[in-house]
Amino acid sequence: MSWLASLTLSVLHAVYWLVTFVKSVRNSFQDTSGPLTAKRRKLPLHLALLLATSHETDSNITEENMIESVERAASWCHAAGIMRLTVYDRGGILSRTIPEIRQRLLKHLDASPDESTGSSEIEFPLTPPPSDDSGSRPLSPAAAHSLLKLHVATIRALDKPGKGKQRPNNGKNVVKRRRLSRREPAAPSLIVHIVSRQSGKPAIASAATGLLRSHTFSGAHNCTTSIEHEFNQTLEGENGFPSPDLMIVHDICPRGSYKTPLELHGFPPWQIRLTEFFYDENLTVKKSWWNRQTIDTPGRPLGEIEFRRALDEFGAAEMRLGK
Amino acid sequence: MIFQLISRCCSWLADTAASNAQRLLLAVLAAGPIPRHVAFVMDGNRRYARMHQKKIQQGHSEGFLALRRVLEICMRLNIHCVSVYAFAIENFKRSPEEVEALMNLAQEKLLEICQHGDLLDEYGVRLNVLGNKALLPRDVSAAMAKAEDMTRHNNRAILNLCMPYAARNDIATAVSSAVHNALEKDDTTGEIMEDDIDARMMTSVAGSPPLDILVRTSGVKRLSDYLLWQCCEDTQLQFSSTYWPDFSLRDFIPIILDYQQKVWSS
Repeated sequence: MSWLASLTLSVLHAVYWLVTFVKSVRNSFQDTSGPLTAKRRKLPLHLALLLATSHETDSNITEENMIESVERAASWCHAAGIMRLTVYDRGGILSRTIPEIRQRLLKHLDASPDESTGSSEIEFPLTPPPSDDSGSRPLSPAAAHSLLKLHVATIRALDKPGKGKQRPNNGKNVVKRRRLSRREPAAPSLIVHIVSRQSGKPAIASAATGLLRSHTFSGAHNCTTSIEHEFNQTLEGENGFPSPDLMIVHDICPRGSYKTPLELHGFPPWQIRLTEFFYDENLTVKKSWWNRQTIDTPGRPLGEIEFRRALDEFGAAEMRLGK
Repeated sequence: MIFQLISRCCSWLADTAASNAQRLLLAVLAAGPIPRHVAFVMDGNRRYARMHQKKIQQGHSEGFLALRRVLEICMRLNIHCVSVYAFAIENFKRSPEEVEALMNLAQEKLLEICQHGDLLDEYGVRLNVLGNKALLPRDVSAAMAKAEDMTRHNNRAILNLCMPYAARNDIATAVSSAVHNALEKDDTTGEIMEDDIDARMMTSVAGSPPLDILVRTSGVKRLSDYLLWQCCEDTQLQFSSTYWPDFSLRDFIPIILDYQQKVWSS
């Protein structure tokens, strides 16, 4: 009788696929998302973008789709008034292409000098590469160890203060080193963190090693509350990245024609305690049917409708915080 | 009187037919791959109560009935391990009356389902209470210890009752354990690895396999500090719009089908 059960199960799966397909097709004709700059009940201060990939697709094309997604997301965040963006890919592809990302962000966020408003070009202070934080002075051996292995790269887009204090732009290289002693502190208009799986569980292990090597680890650290507090400061501090309010999970390379439920692909666990998730699991069904995609086709960068729908859903969500 | 009799007969027939249909459906699902470990965030009891003009405590009681129902479904499907988020450390912020009612409910119902002949005994389920148990009232803590003792000999399946639980607390506890272990070995120059922490997470210590599926009910799409370490890799996160007291096999079927499709396509 097991063959009968297996046959019935196959029929059940076929019916389920059909229902899912009809739903996704119906949804594809309805774009009820508000414009990017629409007034929403609440907006995330910090948005995360998780770019999921598969190993079967061409790595050059995947890399290009990822960088394109970062560029688009940064541009839309800037337009929507979101101050901080974290972009994650499990394998660290983005972490290896920071210079190109900077150039692409500059192209997108760069504004021509405007005589009337005084707004001017964006500059990107050089940030340490992910595995070396030579620019900072650690307070203790434990802190030094932690700093070295958090694997978070940060790009800050700053607005220059006033046109009288503008530095001349020779048009060749607009990535400048910020000299604090000569200028007023500038507020970043957008902060972008580039992270990978190394920024998650391995970073927690690194922080734990820091505790082990700290000469102050003692009875006080028996209290897990103090460990939590210390990890908050390390993992979410200046050399880490804070918890995002909203995460968009986007499949760069959707596989097959079946819907794919949400997975987090190794995203740093410490920072997702209260993060709201947005994921269109039916996109894979839609795209693969209409485009007749196979695992060899190029994939797709993040789309604006997806971005806007995420903001709409976040605006409608209720936070009770345990109460 | 005859009409009453006929009505009762019809109800009994309908219930029997529904029960048999459910068993048949479960047998069909069990013909495919079944997840080893499923976690539930049992969310929506209070909103369910408000929607039905009932007291909050009634919502929680019906939530317990849903827990029994879903547990039985999981056991019939041979899901080896089920973890449920019964009470978050943050939930202590609720009104004292609600917290007390939840603690009393836990105390009463835990002992009930561990009794001989009841659900956990019938399916050979070992109960583990995971969380910062030092925060629990003494009598609740004692009842939980008793319930764990009653089922310690069971080895067919595992029920992890996370209460009061917080994932960051879980990670910090594992880290503390790993660090102390290294200090005891006088190994302050070595490194703590990811696997060292993983082995000390509360679910690992309780013998639970890796988490395959996490289900949150009531439409909320957050983890709310639940099993963050355990579910951040390749766990399927399923957000159901149904409130927990209404959650049933009908809501669970698509979740199992999605899991089976993942296994078949990998």
